[in-house]
Amino acid sequence: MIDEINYNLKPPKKIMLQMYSSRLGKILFNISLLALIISLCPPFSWFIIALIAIIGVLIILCTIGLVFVVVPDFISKFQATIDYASKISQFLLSILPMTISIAFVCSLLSIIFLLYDKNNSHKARIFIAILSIVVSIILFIIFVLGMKV
Amino acid sequence: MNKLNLKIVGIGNISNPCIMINNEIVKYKKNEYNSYEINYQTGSDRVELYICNYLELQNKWWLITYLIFFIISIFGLFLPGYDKRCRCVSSKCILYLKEDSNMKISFNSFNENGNALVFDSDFQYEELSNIYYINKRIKRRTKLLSVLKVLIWIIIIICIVILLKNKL
Repeated sequence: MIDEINYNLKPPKKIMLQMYSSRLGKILFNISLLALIISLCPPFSWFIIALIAIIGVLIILCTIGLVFVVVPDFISKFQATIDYASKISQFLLSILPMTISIAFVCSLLSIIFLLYDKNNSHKARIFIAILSIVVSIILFIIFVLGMKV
Repeated sequence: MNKLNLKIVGIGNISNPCIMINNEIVKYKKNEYNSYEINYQTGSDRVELYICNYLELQNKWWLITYLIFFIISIFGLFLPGYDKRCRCVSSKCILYLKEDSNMKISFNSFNENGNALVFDSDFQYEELSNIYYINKRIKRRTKLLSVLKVLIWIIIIICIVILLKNKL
């Protein structure tokens, strides 16, 4: 009975399209989220560099300079860490326009695809995607203003 | 002209539902209580109501579509998982309509091979099928795709290792 009814039943085109649209929307949403997180990294990476510098100074102060006795090349190691962190930060800054545009386009497309699926509710994803668009626009404005300055 | 007023409660529990009357998909409206309402008019006094749901891997192009999505989602990195439970509903009944027919359909909680729907109507109807079941064919396909994903990733890693070795 079941075989006769459902196993061999061809899903209607419209429902199949809605399912595929939903899947594509979810994929684009996931991509946009990662792109947005990478876009948000450069400003935070500068904070991390500052944090590393503060920790380094605190280590020197707390050990009353004894750290230089235990680790003779402390300053050079410390400098290398900061250099490495700033290199990562510069790399993230260089790819910022690309990640912002990926986040923006993927969020926009994901909203369109998710809205096409009328069978399932995607309210949370659509809300986050709208938020992602707003954040990426703000980041873009900050980036453009930063370039001008 | 006979009028059929259908109220469906709890349809949100199943994925991608489809409601057909006389083999035609009917549109439904969602009311404020999250139940669906259908107002159907017909000249006939006998209609066939079919309620079912579809799973994504149910069409014949399932492998090709999976591979397309797999590539789009950067080798499955961003690919959301497929429904592993594969729960389906199949309910078919013949409704003998009168001028103004009202019917309330409620979904039971899932119980394999148990009754899927509860009908409450003010007219006669004949149940042909009313069952919850697990679509084993789709379940097999889901498992197969999981294995395929692992295999593709093993091949990708082997390719990367070979490429790196050649460069070094």
